[in-house]
Amino acid sequence: MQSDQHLLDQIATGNAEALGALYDTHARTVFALAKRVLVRQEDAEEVVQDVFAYVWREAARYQAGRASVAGWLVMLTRTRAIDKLRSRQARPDLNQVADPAPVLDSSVSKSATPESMAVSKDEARRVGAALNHLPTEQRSLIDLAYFEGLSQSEIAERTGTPLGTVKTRMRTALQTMRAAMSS
Amino acid sequence: MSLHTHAPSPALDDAIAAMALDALDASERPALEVQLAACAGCREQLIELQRAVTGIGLSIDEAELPAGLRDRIVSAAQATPNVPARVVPFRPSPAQRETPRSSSALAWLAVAASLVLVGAMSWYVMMSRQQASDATSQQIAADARAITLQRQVASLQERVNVMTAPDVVKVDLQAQPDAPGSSARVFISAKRGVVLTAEHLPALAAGRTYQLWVVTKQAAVSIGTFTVQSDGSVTGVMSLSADATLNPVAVAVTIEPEGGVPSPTGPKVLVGMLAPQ
Repeated sequence: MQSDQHLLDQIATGNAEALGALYDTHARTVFALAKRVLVRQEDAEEVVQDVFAYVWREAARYQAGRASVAGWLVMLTRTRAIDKLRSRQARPDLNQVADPAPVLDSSVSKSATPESMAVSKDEARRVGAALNHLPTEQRSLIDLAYFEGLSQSEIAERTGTPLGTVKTRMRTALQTMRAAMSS
Repeated sequence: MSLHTHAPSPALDDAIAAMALDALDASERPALEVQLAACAGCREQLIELQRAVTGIGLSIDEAELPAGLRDRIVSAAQATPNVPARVVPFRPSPAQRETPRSSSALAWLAVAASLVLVGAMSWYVMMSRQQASDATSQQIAADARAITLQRQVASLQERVNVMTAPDVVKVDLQAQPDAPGSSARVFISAKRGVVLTAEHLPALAAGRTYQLWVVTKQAAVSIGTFTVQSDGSVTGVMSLSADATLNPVAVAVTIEPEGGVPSPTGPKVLVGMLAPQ
């Protein structure tokens, strides 16, 4: 099996079969994540197509560095899925002119760096295990932030939890997962 | 939050964790960006937590893929080349150049070759134009992205400049009955200007605008008008006139007619008091 980086190099030269091979490796995770966020099958399929179309266009620009292609795909998928979720939930206001800026400048993952996407399979597995063992109140809060794209204030409002408690639980949960990842 | 160092601070750790999950409220983001710019330890902590967040997505159970999705993606890629097509110039082989022909056959061949050449040239010109058009479009898109990024960086630098001013004062504005649920924070520096971040402000009717005021002991001084995004948030830098720096006691946001007014006339939606000096 060819490495992800080799496939990206091939994609950058216009090799569509290499894109198919990258799809074969990662699409199950990409689709699962998109479906978890959006629930609707057709929306999730659209996100998968968007993500791989983006990879097709931008493969030449991708600088792997210390990042992993899988991490990059997950970041792209979550960003697009949350954007789609928000646009689906938005109620059109006839008095407002549509603002294209959010489409170009998603608030999701603005601060992501190659290093932040460099996660091995083993590390991801440990994070997943730690996530499953979090106390329910911490787990649900991570789910609301990661899979629904809610801010801390929105989570506090949605759950009726004091904002300070949300902040503390979020920090504790993430620190637990980080510790598990490197253990 | 303290600058430059990563001293133990639950509030800072909370904010970094929230940013790692993209869950930090917009009003808190500018302050954390300033902190991150000055604190290497904070940036490292953010990256480590972001790696854990990446792990969430990677650890999800794989799903069965819909039939035909792969074909659609690969077909779409094949139909939209991502690299410019290479044009191979036509060169007749020596054998073609040297083979003798009868004059009549040569004439017909010349006509046919001309037609082929004209067709090929037309196709070449059309493709060249298409490629040039594609390249131009890509260049324009790249330039637009670069300009957007430059603006974002310049805007961030402006904000950091104000927020790190020696004389900066932070004022938290409280929601008033006309905008319940809204909130705002203002950083005021007499030397460098005003940074405003607000959230959950309601959409306004046509012909109305928000206006920011610094209230001094003498009068309410207009800082400027602003609009909010569809989610009711806004972040921006405004300049400060000299008369707004004389004995300021409060900051307020009102709803006014489009274009703003010299003195506040509309309902106050946010108000914050400055600490007595």
